[in-house]
Amino acid sequence: MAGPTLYDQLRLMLPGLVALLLLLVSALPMAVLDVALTPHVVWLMTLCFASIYPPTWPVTLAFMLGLLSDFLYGTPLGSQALLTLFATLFLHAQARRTSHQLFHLRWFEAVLTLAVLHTLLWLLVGFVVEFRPPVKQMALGALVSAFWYPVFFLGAQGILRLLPARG
Amino acid sequence: MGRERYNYQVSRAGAKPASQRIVVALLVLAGLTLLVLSRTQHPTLLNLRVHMLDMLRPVMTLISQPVTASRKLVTSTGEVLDTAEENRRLRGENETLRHWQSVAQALKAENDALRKLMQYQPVEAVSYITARVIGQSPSSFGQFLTVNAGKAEGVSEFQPVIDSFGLVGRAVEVGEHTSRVMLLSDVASRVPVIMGHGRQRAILSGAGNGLLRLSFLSSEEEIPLGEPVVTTQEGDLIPGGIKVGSVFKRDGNGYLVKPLRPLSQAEYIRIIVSKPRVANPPSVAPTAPLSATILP
Repeated sequence: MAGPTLYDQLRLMLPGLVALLLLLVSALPMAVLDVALTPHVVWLMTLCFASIYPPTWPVTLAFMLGLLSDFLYGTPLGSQALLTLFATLFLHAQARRTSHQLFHLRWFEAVLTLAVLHTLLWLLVGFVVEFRPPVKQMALGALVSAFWYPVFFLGAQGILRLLPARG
Repeated sequence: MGRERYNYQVSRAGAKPASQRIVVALLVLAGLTLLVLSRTQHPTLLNLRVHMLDMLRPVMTLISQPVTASRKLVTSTGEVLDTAEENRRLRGENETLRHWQSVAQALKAENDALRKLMQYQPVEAVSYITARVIGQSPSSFGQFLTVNAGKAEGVSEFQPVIDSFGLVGRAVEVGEHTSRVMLLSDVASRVPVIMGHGRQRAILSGAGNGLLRLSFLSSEEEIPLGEPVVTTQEGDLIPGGIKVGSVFKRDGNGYLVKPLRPLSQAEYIRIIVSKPRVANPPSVAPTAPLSATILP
């Protein structure tokens, strides 16, 4: 059986490239209010792609994007990289169960996952650098990301149309 | 949204190949190593961050162009619409400033004379580097700005950073042409301050939510709300007298200070570059030794 063509392989890189671009854009100075309304781009993209189409979201990509998030967010290097890696592994394992899931269930599970990831990051930051942001701010960050999920999901559906179909 | 349009068949061969397991194990090991190095604040990690800063600079500058352009467009449109009102306000301000100019000239002459009389030795001459903000931290986990000036422009670690309103933060990571500024509102930020009128000293720390908190107050005296807060030269890291904000409210943990404007909204900042102390300083203070390098 012939493997994927180069064109197909390039198309499979599209979600990763979009995530990278969105991550960089999210770090631009755009604050209108002094409230962080920027969602956690990498985790949202992980939720959208790792469970729907795992080959587009390999563990190495997840780790590298997490590492870049660590750098841009100012969190200890390795913390978001590890959390994104574990989230990807978890979602890959859940792919069979969630592949036919209804949107509202998918959103509910995404909210739970985001809450867990934000809490773990908050704990990890406190353990490594001893300065934790207030719990309220961490919860706000998770909430903002949760509200953005439908937007990212719709965008992901658009990107999925451009990808090679899986057999 | 109903069912998804694209459902992909997932392989039933659940087991991952051995090579992927090795990759995962290596990535976990790399992540843990980075965390341990972060915990011990290893210099290698700081160098890595600095290199990443420099690597990302061209990309961030390129991507920020449309954002900067649209910001300018919005600002200039607003300015055009408010021209008449702005003109009237400026006329009034001009009259007030003329009055204060004459007062300042008289005070300066008096100050010069007194300094000469006391043989006052000036503390230090400072100059500024003006830089553009090209990035900011997108979450509340850390509050930072990335600016397009680094070692090559004369920036070094812990130098204070101001904007047109007052103190913004300090440079914490300095690359060749890029630096990262920790905002005062970051939970790890600590700055010595003094109250404008009451003269109580305190340490100002970030509350993590855009506000600042006063701790280690030098006296138990009540601080009135609205009291201005300025920097002190204690520790010799930040010049004294730079405006920070005003006392905003009191809660169970003490006083909260509101910056003069949201710190993350700075577009251009100035990094205060201290010059080395002179061996035999002149007995009279030099007149406003400000030199500024403005980066595009």
